[in-house]
Amino acid sequence: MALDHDAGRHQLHGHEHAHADEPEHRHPHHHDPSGTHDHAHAMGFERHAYLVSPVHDLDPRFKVVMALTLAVAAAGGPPLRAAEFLALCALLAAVAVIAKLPLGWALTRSLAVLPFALGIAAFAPLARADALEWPAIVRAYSEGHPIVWSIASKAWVSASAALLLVATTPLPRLFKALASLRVPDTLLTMLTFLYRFTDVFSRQVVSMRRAIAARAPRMRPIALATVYGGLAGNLLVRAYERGERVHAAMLSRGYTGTLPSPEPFRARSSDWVALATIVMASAASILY
Amino acid sequence: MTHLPPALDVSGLEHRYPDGTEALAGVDMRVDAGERVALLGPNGAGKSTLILHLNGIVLPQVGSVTVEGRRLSADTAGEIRARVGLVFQDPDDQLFMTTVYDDVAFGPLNMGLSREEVDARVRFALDAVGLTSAASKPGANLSVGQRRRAALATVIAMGPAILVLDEPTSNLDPRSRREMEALLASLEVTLIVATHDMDVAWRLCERAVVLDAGRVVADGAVRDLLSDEALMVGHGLELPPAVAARSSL
Repeated sequence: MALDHDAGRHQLHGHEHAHADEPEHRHPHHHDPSGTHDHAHAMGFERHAYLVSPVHDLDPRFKVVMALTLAVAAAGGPPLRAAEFLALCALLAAVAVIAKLPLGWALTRSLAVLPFALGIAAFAPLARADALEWPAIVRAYSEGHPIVWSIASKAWVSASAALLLVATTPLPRLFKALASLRVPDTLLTMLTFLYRFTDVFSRQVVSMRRAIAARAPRMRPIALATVYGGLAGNLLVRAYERGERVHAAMLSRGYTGTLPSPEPFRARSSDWVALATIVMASAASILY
Repeated sequence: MTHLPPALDVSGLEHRYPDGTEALAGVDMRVDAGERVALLGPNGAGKSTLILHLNGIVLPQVGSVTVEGRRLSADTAGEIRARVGLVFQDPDDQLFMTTVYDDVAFGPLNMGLSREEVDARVRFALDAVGLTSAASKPGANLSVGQRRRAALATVIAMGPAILVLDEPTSNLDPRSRREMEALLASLEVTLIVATHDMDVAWRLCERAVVLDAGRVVADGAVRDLLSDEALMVGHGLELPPAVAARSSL
């Protein structure tokens, strides 16, 4: 093991490998002199981002464009007919299978969008009611249920496309792809910090909640709500102060307002093939 | 013999915060190249404010800061930041990118270096702090001691002549503290270390500057100052445990 990495030991590189209890995966790493490397095995929604599959292998810029194409095709057209919807489902499922994502996990995650989508969809037929009276409202709903279906199905397809993108791309790589797709710097800086500091702040929330629990083990809901209001305000102040300190640290290292430009990606023919497939599938679903 | 300008020359530096609090009330301090200086003082003495002046995060209101003969101003702050590396107390403030590698590369990339040069510097810096194998980890996944060393690497990669550290050993367990101390001792740079850790000051530095209420109240050999109980206790500090044990015999 140590031998074949000798030459490239200090070079940042990635190669497939597997550990006990874990599927084969890949991530960029350096070897230390003992020939081992530490792991950045991510949790949560990034859990499967380091697996090895043809989908993970695609250029992340292409994946961003593909996800957007699918979302626009699904959301932009007329309400999805059953055949279209099933075809898109099959396409999404095929990508998930090729990417070795656990289907149950992917489905559960993608369904998370439904409460939001249904929240909007539930009121959408009201827009058709010509008067806010019961008969009109009932009529609007009995005629308007295709709208509910349309909003929910489009939201789900779009969310699934985004989920497949995020689940198969390590976020640092995804951010670099967005940068080379000219996503505004301010937005990217915000995304980067959101990714980096979510954990820092959730640890602060946990410790503040412990502090509350330690001093007020049995609190009535209203009193508790007041305390949590204070906690939220406290967190806001801390976030602001942290922001000032991070900014000072950035200035110290020569920050002038733009994040350093990422290393260039190199597109391969497989990226173009995948993109062409998705674009044609989307075009077919719109023209059908 | 050529006469080199001092690495750092702080003269008559005053600073008042917008709310009127006087943080620095005329600080004079001169540090020669290669010196290791402990910056001591109770909380609120002005250490952090002074540190933020040393590379122009805060510009002098009254007085001046001169680095290697170049006077700090809005125009020179950029160059001076590449010469004076600041390591903040909380490594989470310093590790803001998505991976340790990107964090260490941030400074060199901002210096406009080529990809190859940046990569070489990142490798050098991570090797120096013993974190080569953690390059691809997000900063959040490191232990406190590793995060401290990663934060130091982000600054080492810029190749500064002067390294300024704010409490580099606070919150560290004894082993991480020893590692950090050995690491700092191995660096061939001018070192300014703001600390409450009297042991580290005693072992790492030759010279100490004691700050209280925004003024330098003592400046001299670290062993003289740290053995002076009246001075230390009078300014809210303490003797290093070894010195205290010896004097109580």
